[in-house]
Amino acid sequence: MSFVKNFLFGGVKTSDDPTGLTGDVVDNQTEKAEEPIVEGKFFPRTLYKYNGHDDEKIFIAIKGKVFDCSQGRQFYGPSGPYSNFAGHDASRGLATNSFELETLRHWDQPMDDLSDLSGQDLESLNGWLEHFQNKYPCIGELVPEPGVNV
Amino acid sequence: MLYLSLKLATSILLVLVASIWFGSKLVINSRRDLHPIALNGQANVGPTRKEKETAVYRNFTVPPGFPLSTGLGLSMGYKLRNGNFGDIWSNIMSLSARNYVELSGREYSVKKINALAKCLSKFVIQQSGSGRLGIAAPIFELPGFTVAIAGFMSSLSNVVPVFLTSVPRSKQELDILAIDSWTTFHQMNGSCEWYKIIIVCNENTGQPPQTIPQNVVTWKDLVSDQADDPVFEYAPPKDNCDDAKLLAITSSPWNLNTSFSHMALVSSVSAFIKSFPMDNEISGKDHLTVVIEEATKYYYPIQVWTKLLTTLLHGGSTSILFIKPNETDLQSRINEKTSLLQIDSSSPLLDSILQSPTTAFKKVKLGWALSLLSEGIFTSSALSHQAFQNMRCMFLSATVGDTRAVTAMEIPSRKLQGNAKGSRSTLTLNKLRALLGSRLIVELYSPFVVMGPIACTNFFDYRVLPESVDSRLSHYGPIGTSLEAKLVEDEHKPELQSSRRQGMLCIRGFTIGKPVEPERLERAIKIVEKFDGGEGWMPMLGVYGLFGKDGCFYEFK
Repeated sequence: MSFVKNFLFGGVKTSDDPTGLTGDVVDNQTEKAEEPIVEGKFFPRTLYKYNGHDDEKIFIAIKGKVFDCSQGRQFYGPSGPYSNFAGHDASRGLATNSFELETLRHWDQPMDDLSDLSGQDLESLNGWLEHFQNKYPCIGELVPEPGVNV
Repeated sequence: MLYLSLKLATSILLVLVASIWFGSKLVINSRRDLHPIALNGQANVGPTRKEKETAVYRNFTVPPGFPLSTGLGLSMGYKLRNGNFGDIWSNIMSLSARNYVELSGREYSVKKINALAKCLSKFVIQQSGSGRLGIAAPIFELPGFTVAIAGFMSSLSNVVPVFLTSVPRSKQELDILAIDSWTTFHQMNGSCEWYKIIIVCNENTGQPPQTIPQNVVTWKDLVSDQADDPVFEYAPPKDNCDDAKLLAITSSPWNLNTSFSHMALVSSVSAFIKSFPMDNEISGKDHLTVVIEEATKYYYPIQVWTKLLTTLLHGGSTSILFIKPNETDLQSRINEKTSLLQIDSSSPLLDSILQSPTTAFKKVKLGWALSLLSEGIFTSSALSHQAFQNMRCMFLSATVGDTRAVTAMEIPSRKLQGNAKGSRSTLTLNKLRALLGSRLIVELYSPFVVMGPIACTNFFDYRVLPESVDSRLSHYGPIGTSLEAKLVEDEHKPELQSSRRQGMLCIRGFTIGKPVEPERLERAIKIVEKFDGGEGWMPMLGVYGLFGKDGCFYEFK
């Protein structure tokens, strides 16, 4: 009806405030969920939820660096061949070319220091790291959580 | 009986109201140019952001992970290359059957301009080798225009054209200088000895000296008897080195010079082509008119080329219209074939269109048009003058709040004056759309730093923003396809929070120029390091704004 009123009496429709400056628009839960994540430090516990199930975004850690692999959902997302890696430190799995759950540490276990990997495994891991650096944005680093992983 | 009549009247009223409501819903939704959902998602926003920074924003046509617009995408064997001015001009000439450039009210065929520019280019390369060609002659006149085109042609042979705001008062590294008239020559006070050659573009203005120095020639002497030439042959070298060459240097009113490469030009052209929506693409039927006024005269020599060359590249024609400060009538000066118009946002010509007297019926039509536009439906029913009947898009160019601070790479020491740029409210922009019967795009320029606009509003965005937003912010739409942007928190404006998508603008991309002066370049490198150096971000010092939830950039007034 507002259009009819505007059309007859010469008014215009004013759009919603897209800037959020006036406070007219209240941030709802959906908008908050779409907010960009602040890059920084991740603990295995905080990384876990970005596994494509609990949160739409998919983050994977390799050699202490966290990558946003949401664009590679077909590989790392639910039902993807590498879905186990999502939300985890995937270093050992990638180094040993194994997609098994045994290669991954739970969030409440000490972080994997990869000290027992062979030279060949480390070389393979560095290759994967380079691949991820070229393909996905690095959004932070994975550090042990005091009292949980240390 | 009364009861029955009341019942009937109520039923009729209800049916009428329901019909109007349903009809208007149906009509509005089916006639809208762009759905509100699309208007609320005009950018691709990065999934993450750094502390004290917003996420990276890109145009909605360039998703993250995809390359920005980096050129013309020409094939070179199995590879793609970006191209350069040579590619653009040779393609312009292949479509030059009927198109023309209108300068000072006279039409010159592109073939004629090509012949003149080729002749001048040959002379410039002979005389200056790989030196510099200073251009202090106006480009809205034939001699200055052809010298500029010749400069671009010569840039492929390592000559660098330098667009000057005035004749240099101190000695600069220039081999050839093009000046406008003999009057200017007399004002040079002997500085003509600094140059190998001086080209006097208009030999009819002012009196020539009794003895003309040996290094002074007139433009007419150089280009006399040139017949039309429809060919410009360009073959790129195998190593593709021409694409990386310098296209031109532009000088600012503060004597700060910025260089632009051919990459910047082709990326800017590419971004402009992509800015047109489907079914409204730029074509050979288009006629571009660029209005040059007092406000734009310093930066048009470098900014005019993107749209002008793109229009010619599609087989269209162009006009460059110089408006003197006392002229207030656009409709009597504009070429009636004009379909695309570039004009400064604060131009008094637009004020005169907005304030022109009108009849009661026209006021009603304007009210209807404004009402429809605010609903997202374009109409040209309130067209104010027949001179604008072919116009389909108007580009309003606005500059960043403090152009000097951005160019000099210095934090502005003074506080910005409110509304200093005279940016127009979204309701006024809709009035212009209605009165000119044309779409309208507002473009944000940093004219001495970035070639082409940084951001521009959507072709179909006719939203009227709330008064509280219009009074505090200028709306500039999403970032162009050749650039990506983010906002960073800055100590000079601590009240702006990156978590609320506010801060100082930083851009990265292919249309950004490079400071020429070594000290300014050094200062730029230091400042860039301060704002997350190493990733190629260029801070636009003093440009504070926010990204709306619609993905558009809004600059604080």
